[in-house]
Amino acid sequence: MLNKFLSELFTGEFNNALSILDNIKLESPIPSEVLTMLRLAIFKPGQNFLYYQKIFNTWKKWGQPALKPSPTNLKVLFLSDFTADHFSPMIQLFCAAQGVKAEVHLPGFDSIEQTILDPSSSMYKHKPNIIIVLFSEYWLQKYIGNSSLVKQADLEEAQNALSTLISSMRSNSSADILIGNLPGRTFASPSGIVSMNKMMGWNLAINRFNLWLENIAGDRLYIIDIAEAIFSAGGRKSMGNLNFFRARLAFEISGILSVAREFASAVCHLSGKTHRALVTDFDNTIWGGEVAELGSFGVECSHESPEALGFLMSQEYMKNLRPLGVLLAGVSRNDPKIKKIFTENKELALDLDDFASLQLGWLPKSDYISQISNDLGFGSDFMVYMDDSLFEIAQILSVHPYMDAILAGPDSQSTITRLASYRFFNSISISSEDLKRGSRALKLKEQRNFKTSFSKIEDFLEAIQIRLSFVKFNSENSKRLVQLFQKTNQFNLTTRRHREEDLKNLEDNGAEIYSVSYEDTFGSQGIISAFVLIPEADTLLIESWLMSCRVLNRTVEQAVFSFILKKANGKQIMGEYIPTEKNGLIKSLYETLGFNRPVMTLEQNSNEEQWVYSDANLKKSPPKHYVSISEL
Amino acid sequence: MIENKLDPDQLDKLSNILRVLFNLPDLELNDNLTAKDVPGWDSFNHVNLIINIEEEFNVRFSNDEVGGMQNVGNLKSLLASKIS
Repeated sequence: MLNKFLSELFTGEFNNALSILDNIKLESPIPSEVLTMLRLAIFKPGQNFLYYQKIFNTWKKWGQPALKPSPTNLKVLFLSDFTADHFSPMIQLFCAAQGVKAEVHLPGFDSIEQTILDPSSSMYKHKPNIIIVLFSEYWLQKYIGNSSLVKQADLEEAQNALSTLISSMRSNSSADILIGNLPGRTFASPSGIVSMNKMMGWNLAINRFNLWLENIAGDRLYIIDIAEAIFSAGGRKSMGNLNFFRARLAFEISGILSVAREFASAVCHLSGKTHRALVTDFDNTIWGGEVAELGSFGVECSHESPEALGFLMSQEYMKNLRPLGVLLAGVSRNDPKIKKIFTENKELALDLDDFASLQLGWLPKSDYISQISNDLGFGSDFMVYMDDSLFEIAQILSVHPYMDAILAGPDSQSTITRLASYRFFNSISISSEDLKRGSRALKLKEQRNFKTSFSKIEDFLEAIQIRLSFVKFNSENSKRLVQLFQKTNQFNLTTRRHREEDLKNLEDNGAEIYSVSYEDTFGSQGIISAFVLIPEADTLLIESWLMSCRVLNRTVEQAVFSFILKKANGKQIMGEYIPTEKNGLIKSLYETLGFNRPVMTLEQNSNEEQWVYSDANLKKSPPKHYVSISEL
Repeated sequence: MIENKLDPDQLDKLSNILRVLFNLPDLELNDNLTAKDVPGWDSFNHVNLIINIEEEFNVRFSNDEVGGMQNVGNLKSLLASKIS
């Protein structure tokens, strides 16, 4: 069924793909291939509203299941000055495909000011996690007027009005705030970008307004590029040129869908639910032809022909994902020797160093995806696979149902168009950690090679001189800490998804929150662990403890614990383990560290385990590690 | 009054639009069906229905036509007149 669905989805009729999906008989639990099909159908861009509504109905029929493992639940409030009823189901649907269960509230049309400025309004009572504010040009027109020339002072008045609204949201809510910038006017303004004596054309006013918006971003405020979303949807023809008159829709359907996708993608980005790696096939995907047949210089990827240029631009597109923290991996049914193409053929945009993991050989491709997942340190649910073969895509999805996929071809221009229009890799902000992810993956690769030259792991760990730095929660590390709390699933003892406000509250109530940075002879890995300690009269409670899996098997957790032990200063230490689908890895962590289960437990939830490291244990020597520790 | 002349495929396509938009998979269209007979067919969804019919059939209704539709029979006639 999956095979037939994929061939209709990628090469046949979208409507037939949806009919296959809709005709599957309900069963419980929901088969994982249904989740895969729903997700891939949702991701497919550029379809009519009716089709997405049909997917929404099918998804609803199955009980709106999570489409990715460990979904994040979020309350999203959508404020706009126009009729926005289409946005609620579409944002829910687009978020679901990325593993975010969004509950979307629309407080009502044209109520932005009233709703935001009233601290007792229902928007704050809903306690949203995310507030989306989307203005139309008509909101701006209230301040700057409809004359073809706009006064600088009027533009400043609009900016002041919006600043007041933002301050009010910041003080009445702990939500992240997403504001859309403005596309051009629905009906082309004759004044364009003219400028004279503190007067300017409408287009210039919009440009300046957008630039001002970008400059005020930060401190929970993110600007979403709606101008680009409208440009992608076809520009002016996707603005409300017909249905604004009928029902005050600021955008036509194509614009609504593009804008909804952009916001959904931003919401998912904020929850850490973004795609972190692109895994690609080689032959006829990133170059034309088969390298084993044609040799390093015989494949098509250059400026020489239209087809070759499309491959070159696709490679450039992929390479340009790297600075955003997206990792690249390659999988190809080929002799490993063919990798010399990347050093020999200088016309390729990609080179060997661009790949954080490279898997060449004859095993089923799904096996290689598991290997890539090990290499990169995260699951296939954070990856997108690209291949020109539907068979390979289906084979991989049958084993990795939470991986997303796109088909390459049939020509190279279709590949780059698809790669760009799917919006799998959509950044709304970049943390320094994202920037480091790529170089870190390459360091890991070196490290793996290095490791093979040691017969004993202890000798290896000693040789690489691991250093951990412990820093208390502060304004510099808060962004990365919050990101770790949102993203970490496997090494996460309690999976409490603390946000910045939560951490501040915990700290105000006496908790000690630490970030842990890692460095060794290969370089820095940045912040890799966090924990929250709550001192009580005779106990130190480990409220949260999480760590990135990429530093496992290096005695880092033993070293972190020895730091906690020092902080306990003779008090007994209490740890909790709350099992989830994903954190089985650390089920025995506390036991390994020398903790015992208390005789009397206060466990409210039967799953939740409490562990104690008490006086009796203190006499034992703490677990051995090969790490030097400092507190900054 | 223009005669109803949607062919069976077109009628099926129209029925499908209503079934999806109102999430009523078993909805059968008859000429006397009106907005108040269908749960969820409010003023917003009326415009939404028109937008989707326009998209799927590649036609355009005038403002008067959008406001003047009385029942499904009326909608079918109008649509038929635009397709032919």
